[in-house]
Amino acid sequence: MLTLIGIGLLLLAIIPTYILRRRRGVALLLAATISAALGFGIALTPMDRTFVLWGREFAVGGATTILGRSVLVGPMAQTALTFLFLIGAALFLLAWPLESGELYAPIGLGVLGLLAAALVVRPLVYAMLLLELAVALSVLLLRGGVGGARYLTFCILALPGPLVAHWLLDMYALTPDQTGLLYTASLLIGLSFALMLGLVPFHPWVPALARTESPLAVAFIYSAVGGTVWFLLMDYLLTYPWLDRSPYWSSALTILAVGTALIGGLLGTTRRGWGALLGYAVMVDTGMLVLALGRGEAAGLGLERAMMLTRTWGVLTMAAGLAALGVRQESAETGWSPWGAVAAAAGLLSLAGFPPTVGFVSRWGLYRLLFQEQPLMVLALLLASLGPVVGLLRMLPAALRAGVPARRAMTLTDLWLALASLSAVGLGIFPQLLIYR
Amino acid sequence: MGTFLEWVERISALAAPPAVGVLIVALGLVLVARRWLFQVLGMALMYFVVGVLHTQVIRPEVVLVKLLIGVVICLALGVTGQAAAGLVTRDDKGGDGNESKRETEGAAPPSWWRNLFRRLPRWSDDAPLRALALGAALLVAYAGSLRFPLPQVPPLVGLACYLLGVVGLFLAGMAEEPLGAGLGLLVFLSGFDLFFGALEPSLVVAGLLGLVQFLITLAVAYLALAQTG
Repeated sequence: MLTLIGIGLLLLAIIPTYILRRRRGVALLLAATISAALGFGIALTPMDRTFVLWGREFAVGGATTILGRSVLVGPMAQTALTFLFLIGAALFLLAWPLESGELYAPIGLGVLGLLAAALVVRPLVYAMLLLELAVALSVLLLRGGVGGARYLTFCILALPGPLVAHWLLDMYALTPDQTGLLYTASLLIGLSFALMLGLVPFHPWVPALARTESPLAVAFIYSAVGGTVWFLLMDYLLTYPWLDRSPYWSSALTILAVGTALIGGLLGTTRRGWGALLGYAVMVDTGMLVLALGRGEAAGLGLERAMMLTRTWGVLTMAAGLAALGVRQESAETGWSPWGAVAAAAGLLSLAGFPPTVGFVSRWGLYRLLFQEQPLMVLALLLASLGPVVGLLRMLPAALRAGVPARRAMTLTDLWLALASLSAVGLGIFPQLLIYR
Repeated sequence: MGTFLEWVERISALAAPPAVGVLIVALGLVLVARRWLFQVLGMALMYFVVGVLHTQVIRPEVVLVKLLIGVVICLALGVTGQAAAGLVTRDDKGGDGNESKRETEGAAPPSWWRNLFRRLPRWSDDAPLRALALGAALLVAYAGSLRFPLPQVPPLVGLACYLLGVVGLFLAGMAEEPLGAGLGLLVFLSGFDLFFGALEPSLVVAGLLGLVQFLITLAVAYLALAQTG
């Protein structure tokens, strides 16, 4: 119940942030404060604690019914909400100096509210509808390039699968002898998540989005929307455990994961601009995440969460660096901001799992998990990870030719970028600060 | 209101076969014609026909709400199409706007039949390909509805669902600009909505699906205007 009140407050905050849109800094700081307060509040509040409101007793994390729909904050949703709100807070803070859009704060809050609602509402059919609402709203954060239309198309085409699967599962509950219903439902759910995660062959929207849109808007979609998709997928696997037990499911996940990582790595070696490089690095990382998920064990799920954290760190650092560079996304040319360049490189290396960045820590866990059984696959994944690094090396000369940095005092933006870059390395050396606790 | 609902139900019972025919014409307008006016007219016609077919699977009151959503979507698409077309024309003219005047100075005035010919709507270069795509969509939808009939819906409604789904996919796939992709998504979702309405009669689901369609229209309008402007 308390979580619902929090989400309601978040959505209400759209009004003041919209009114304050001309004073962008104030609106973004307000949005960041609310989001951070919710994130820390949800993380630190025991979910079994009760409170009294209007003479009635409610449990903080207990199930509540609203308009006949159940709202539940379990341990998974608690982690997901904390993750979502803290990402939101970080993005709002970064957007203050680095994003020029006036509506970043109100639209960002709206998207966060819808995503948070999707994470707690049950049955999952409503979660999918709320997720699609968030996807459509998040398009308003973009600049209007071709990538936005592709992102919208692929994500909306994913809507029918889970909705029809929900009906099929209802039918299966009535006629348990018809196992074909389960097969069709798992196919539909798998297809929908493949579309939303940008797995091969549904990957074109991932690099196109990063190539044509502003880096921090892209980071919002890759981290907040993408993170919610991952948590919903894990929720599906927990709600319908038979999905994970199917041999087809695991094989299909492995094929799609390796395919996505390899294609992302191969395309990452090309010189199509910094934005595209971010997209290809995310594709490689998505492949690794799906592979961890395909293990179908507790270790796989734990690793998956660790990889999501490190991926988000990499995406945010690189996007902030690109925003500071004032990248012209279509070309390899950039402006010049030394800390922007460092942040972009550090973020990309982390996404590629290059030691000693934080991205390497979770990758190392995956490689160790896989190496005993499939050493060749590990070799292929290592090669795929090298792709974006090669792309970075090919892009750097053009970036360095763009100009010599003017001598000036270190700004607050530079300080943030420096902190993000150093943290990407520092957390790689001391990973227990972020994961494996 | 009661009279109107009875009228809708009567039309629905009688009009299912012709409705599918009108739906093909509407989808033809959206897919083959590339002018925004024809496309919006096609969408309006499509929403009306889908509304008529909807009355066979859900309550007429809910259909009225869906029709209202369709009207709002068509209005938004119309305004977007007009604004985007205006921006394109302004960009095409460029300069001080007197170039065409200067070009025509000294040349003989065009004859009246040439003027008339110029004013007729012209087909785009890829119209034959798009017509072929419509034919292919018809074939796929017909074969699909025979081979894999959709559960819980009458055969003609099933055929319409397939038709909307396939044409929507074609439209979204062939689109070069956000408005085209958005039209494809809306057509696809209309087909899905027609089918899913029979499976899940919940009002909340119907409302959320309508809201998704409305937000898609808003997003597409924003993308189209941002790209053109």
